[in-house]
Amino acid sequence: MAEHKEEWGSKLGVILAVAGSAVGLGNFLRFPGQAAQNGGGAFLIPYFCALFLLGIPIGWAEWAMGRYGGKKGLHSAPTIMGTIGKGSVARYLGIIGVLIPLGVSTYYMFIETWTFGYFLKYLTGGIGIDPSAPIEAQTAVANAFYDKFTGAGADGSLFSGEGLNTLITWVVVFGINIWFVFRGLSKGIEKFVSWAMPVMAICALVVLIRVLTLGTPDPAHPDQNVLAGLGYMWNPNYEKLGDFKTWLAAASQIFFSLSVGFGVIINYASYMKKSDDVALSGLTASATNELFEVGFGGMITLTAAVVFLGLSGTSVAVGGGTFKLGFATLPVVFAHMGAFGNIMGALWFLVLWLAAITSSLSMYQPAVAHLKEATNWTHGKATSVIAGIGTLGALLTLWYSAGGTFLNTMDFWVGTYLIFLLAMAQIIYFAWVFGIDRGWKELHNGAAIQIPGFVKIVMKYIAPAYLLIVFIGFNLQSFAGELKNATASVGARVGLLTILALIVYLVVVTRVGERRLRAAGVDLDDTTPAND
Amino acid sequence: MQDAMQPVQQATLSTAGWVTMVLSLVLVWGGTFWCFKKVLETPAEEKAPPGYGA
Repeated sequence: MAEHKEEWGSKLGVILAVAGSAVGLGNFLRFPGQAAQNGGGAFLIPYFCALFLLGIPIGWAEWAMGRYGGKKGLHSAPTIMGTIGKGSVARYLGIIGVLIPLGVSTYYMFIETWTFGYFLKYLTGGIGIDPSAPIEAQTAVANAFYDKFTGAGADGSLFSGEGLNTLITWVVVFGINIWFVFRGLSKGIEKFVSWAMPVMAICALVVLIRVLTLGTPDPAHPDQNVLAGLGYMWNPNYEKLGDFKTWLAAASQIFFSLSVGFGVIINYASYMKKSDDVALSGLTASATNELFEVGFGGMITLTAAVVFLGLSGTSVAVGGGTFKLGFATLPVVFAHMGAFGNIMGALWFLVLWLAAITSSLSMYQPAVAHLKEATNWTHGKATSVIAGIGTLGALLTLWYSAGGTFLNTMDFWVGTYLIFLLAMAQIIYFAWVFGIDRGWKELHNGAAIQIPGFVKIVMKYIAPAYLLIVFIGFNLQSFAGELKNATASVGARVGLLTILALIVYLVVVTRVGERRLRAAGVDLDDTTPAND
Repeated sequence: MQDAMQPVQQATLSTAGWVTMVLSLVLVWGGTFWCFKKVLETPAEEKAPPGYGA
């Protein structure tokens, strides 16, 4: 047990922290692209099915498990999973719950650096796109800036010449993150998200209103208007519902967007009071994430792109991927907004940066809690060690920037694949080992809402089966290709080695912690239920 | 982005598009407002009514 007892300052604080962790770049950039590619408005049917049958129920299980662990003074995924799963297998599977946020932080902060760098650029005049030039020339300027700023040209290019701008921006972004993590849960993370989330919502609302009032800005292209943009995103193509890939894409989007199986919720919930509500809190955090994803992401990104680039230009942009859409296409759109372009650009990238930092702030906390719990070190000492590990990982991401080989390897194996595994382990241990009746009671302890009884069946049968089908489909679709990619370049191989090194570190720390906690008489195998 | 683009390329928002969009927005905006209203209305120390979780 950690010596220093940390707690959330308010119930709203933990909700906003979890929601902030969930709301990220994917809400604004990945979701609209996935919807447009998978049936437009029809995509929302499998999407909401996945939300209600997969995302929210597994999220509730995580909230309940985390708070239960907290009652025993446990705050890390390994010890909490060990308690819920009653043994070493669950405990060591729980390592994934620390590996995911720590591994993802190595590259996520690099992407966060882009959002902050673009925000600063738009505050000081934009990225140099001439709106009177042919659209191809504008796109070329935006692509050139993107390639230069992200180091896409060559490995190591961010460590010399103009690449140093990116490196310096990363140092600033990393410093801000570490400063808030150092300040601790209540004074750091909670305080930051308490103002960052409302500011993000207000900025997104301003951008949304501006986009919806664009009308038909170019009389020469009457087909490029707001309604056409909304139609591109929302007109349903029901034929797509017969394609398994659509259901897979929807489930994956929900899953990754809500941050379930990520290791953060279980850690954050462990700092709640014994009788704090988790049912309404979990639902509210999920709803907030959906507001940002469907309410803002689904209305802004593609609508703005169609208004200025047309249907075919937007199709090309979406096909280019999430990052190109956000960092190379939207700057062209802002260049066409006249006097408001730079202001809108600054606001948009501020929204993306806030979305990114409220997520990245949550990524070190599970690893810090894990180390503190295992060693009984102070918060400052544990944070320093984790910051050091994070710096090493981030430097590798920055170095292997060409083609994002290191980033893509970490993103697939840690930020995607392991999330499936952890979520599956969590829901199975919760519903089948801890017991669904006991879990249901735990979930409702202090609850401000009554969850409908059928959710019990969803948690025990439907969610694990749904997840298993999605996981099998995901494997069939991506596993072989990604395995080949994982050894195809130096950056990718270094990525795999980094994952292995992190696993070794986490196993050692978990083992040290297990010995220390057992010696201190902590009930790690849940032989005695925690008191309410 | 794995798939080739297959959007519904109409130059306006169809009736079905309007319906889907409005329903989705009502669900996420309404759901979020309801949740936050409930959170803010619930006293910090409130316990579940008898029978909850039974």
